[in-house]
Amino acid sequence: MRHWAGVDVGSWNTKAAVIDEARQVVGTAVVRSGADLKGASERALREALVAAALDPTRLVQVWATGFGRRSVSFAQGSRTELDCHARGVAAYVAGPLTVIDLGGQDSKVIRVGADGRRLAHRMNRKCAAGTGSFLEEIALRLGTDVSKLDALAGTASEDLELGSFCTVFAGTELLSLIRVGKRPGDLARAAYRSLIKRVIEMDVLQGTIVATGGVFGHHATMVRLLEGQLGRTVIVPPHPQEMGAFGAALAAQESSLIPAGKEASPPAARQDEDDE
Amino acid sequence: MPATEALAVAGIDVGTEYVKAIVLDGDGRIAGRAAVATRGYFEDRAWEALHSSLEDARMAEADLRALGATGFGSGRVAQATARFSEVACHATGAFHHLGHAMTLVVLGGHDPQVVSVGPDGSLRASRGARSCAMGLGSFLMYAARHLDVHPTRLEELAAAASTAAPVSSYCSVFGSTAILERLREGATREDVAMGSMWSVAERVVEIGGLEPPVVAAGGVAEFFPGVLRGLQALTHVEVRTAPEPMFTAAVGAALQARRS
Amino acid sequence: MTQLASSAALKATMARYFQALGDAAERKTAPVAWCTSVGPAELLRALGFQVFFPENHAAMLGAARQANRVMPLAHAMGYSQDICSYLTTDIGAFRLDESPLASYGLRGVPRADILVFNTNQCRDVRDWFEYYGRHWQAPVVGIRSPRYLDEVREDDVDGVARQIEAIIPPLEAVAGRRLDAAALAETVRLSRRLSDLWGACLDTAAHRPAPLTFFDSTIHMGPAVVLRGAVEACTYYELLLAELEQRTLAGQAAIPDEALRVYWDGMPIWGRLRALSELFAEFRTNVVASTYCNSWVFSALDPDDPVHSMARSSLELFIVRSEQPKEEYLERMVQRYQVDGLIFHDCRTCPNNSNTRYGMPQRMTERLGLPTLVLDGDVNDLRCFSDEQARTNVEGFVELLTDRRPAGTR
Repeated sequence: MRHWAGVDVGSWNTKAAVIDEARQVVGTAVVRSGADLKGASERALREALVAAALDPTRLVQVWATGFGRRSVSFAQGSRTELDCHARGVAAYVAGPLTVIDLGGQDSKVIRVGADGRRLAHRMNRKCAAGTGSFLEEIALRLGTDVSKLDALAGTASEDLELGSFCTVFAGTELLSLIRVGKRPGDLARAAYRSLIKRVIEMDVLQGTIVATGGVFGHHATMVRLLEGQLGRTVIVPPHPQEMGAFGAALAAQESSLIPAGKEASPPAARQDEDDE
Repeated sequence: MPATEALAVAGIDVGTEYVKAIVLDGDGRIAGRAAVATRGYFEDRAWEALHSSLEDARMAEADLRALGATGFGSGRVAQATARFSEVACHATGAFHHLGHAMTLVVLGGHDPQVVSVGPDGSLRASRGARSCAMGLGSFLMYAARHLDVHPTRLEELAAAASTAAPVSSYCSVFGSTAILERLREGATREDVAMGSMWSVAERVVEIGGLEPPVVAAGGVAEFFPGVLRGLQALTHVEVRTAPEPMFTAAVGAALQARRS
Repeated sequence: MTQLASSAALKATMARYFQALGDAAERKTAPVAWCTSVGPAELLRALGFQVFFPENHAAMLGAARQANRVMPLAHAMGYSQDICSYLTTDIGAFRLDESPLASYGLRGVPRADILVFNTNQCRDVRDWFEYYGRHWQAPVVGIRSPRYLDEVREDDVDGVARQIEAIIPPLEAVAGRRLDAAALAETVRLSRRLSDLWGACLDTAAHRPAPLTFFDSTIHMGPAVVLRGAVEACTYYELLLAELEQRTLAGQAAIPDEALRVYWDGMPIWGRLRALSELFAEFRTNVVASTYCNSWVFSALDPDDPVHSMARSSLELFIVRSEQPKEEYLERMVQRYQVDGLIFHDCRTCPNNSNTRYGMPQRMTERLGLPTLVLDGDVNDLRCFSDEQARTNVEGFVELLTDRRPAGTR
């Protein structure tokens, strides 16, 4: 059986996903990106192959995505994470839909039409408001690890508001609330709510709402709060954190399944598959 | 309860990143000091810092005549006999050490200030940074994280740099993306460490009012002297560091408490 | 990308212009007036001034990536990070006594004998000029323009014409001569000629494939900005137009194998001009036209009615108009240049040149059925621009435009 893989090199984490001919995910991995992006991408792919119990020779193609996509020297092609998240989500959910992808440094709202094709996207401006690093800062302020924030928010009983738009100011506001004796659980939930407000004001959310990215994947409270804010169901597809990697794997599969004779398209990552 | 016959005084500066405590003996000399990370636990850490500094000075709370508190969380120091503003404490502390008029650059975890101190040690004026330039300390913490070093080792890295990689960003927190970009482009970790410090220096220059002599105080001055070298290179003005810059405000708080 | 052969003539033309300015300022061969980029330049030139355009100077500092080094000095003086980064770049560099004009043999920016603004683009230009006016104790005069016009009405034109007339006496006093009506008419005639030639150059990009890119145009527009009403500018654009027409005839493309065509609205990002130019070229995408470069086409100029036609052309500009005429303008441009999508640059420190903040991109998508992209950045302040984010934004946009194209069109 033939397999394809995608590697999504993000600012904090590098994700890999391996799929089979039926477009099923058979293995994934998440590793820290650090400064050596090439090393991280190799490590992520290796670990995903181990998880899939698959020999590397079984891979037909590997495509890359994410901010560090051009560092993946072994990839045969690449697409932006905008494309890969839309592509991955469209494999699970019928359009029209809106993908909200929340990553460490970037938040993206991607609109997809009824035909499964991308219509438009919005990225956060050059400001940390509305990105995952906000939660890192908040966790630091609450003296906990970001991985424990969701459990902490689960203990919340009081509704608190963080009025600050800015990550730095929200951090200070949080400290002021701690200073007057507010409880960490309530503060954690307030931080989530603040982040959601930033994200939903980025674009008009149309059709089915789908949440992807590591932040939604690891912070279930965020999804519930988002649903509460929007007053409708939010779909979290399988492997939300590896959605970009999955989309890249789908792109890899698609490129190698084009009719014979057209496969000679250059492997150049950034050139779109134009062989006419 | 502080004793009236005692001579020693203590100052405690409850900052957003660290709580700093200092004990001064009857002659105004530093007898003990301690700094502990705040992490949101103002009361506990203030108590911890105070008692560590007393231990360092081989004293007990009863030996203190007064305890002055300052900093973001000063309200949470239950034992304090008086509370003072950070800027005033920095000015008093720096003047105590140096005894002359100066422009004091206060670089703490959160809100940088440029403070004008008169020839008699009086506080004349102070200016803060624009909103998106705050969180300098946090930015340097992020920088260290991306460079895979403990924050205290960032300076070591920067000292070995050949040039400052440009990592400026409008937003302090978002600056860490610029760090990743430079690394990916092949900039050395050393050059990125130095660039991070320069970007902090740039934000201080923007505040303005850096009339010589310029003296730096605060935790950033203690742990990241590279920021001061950047400041010097950008302004062509000599930047000196206050003695024990991390404790400047704590010293000021102790002195002010003695006076009041 | 092949460089235009006219580039050598461009460099020579600009060098002669700067040297004449330097001579005027340093050897007093002529009085020096500062003028905003779409201000009453013809009037100044007709009065014998050498005319300096600080916006051009600020753009040079931006392109040389000196802006972020010098801006903090202006911030420290109280000029906020949120206002025009041209202003803060230029004043910061002035405080440091630095100028890219040194490469033309000038000691710095030419000292102004008078400064002449038109607030048709923004208020910042006036604040900028007032700084130098105070510094040199030089008179600052200008036109306080109406803005956000639905249509250019006669009373608005009359009002601006009266303001132009009102600044003539103080200009004459500094120039030491009376305004000669024939000289003004001739200057306006030359300015109109230049305008037509520059417009014709930009129009060649309507061809498929386009012989030039927006990035070429931002460089080649220099004389159209700084030498309005000067014969040497016309000479230059005759040369450029001939080359572009020849390219068009030969089917020579600025972007080899041009696959996509897009439109750019908003300011250039001077410090990333080359990087962006290469980025689009990598995707075989030509940014064929822009609001920015077309802003120096003043089709209303009329030598038979110099003052009124100057007033009218200053009000017909895109930046002076309300949303409705702006949208109509963009629609005409989209049709003329046959673009696949529109890019709007949200320029952090230039709200008047950022058409992203009142829903226009969304309305244009609805109106034209074309995808739009908002790119966050700034004309000079590179802290507001992220290379990685811009790459992902642009590449994602190109992917989207490519996917939309019917199969077999490539």
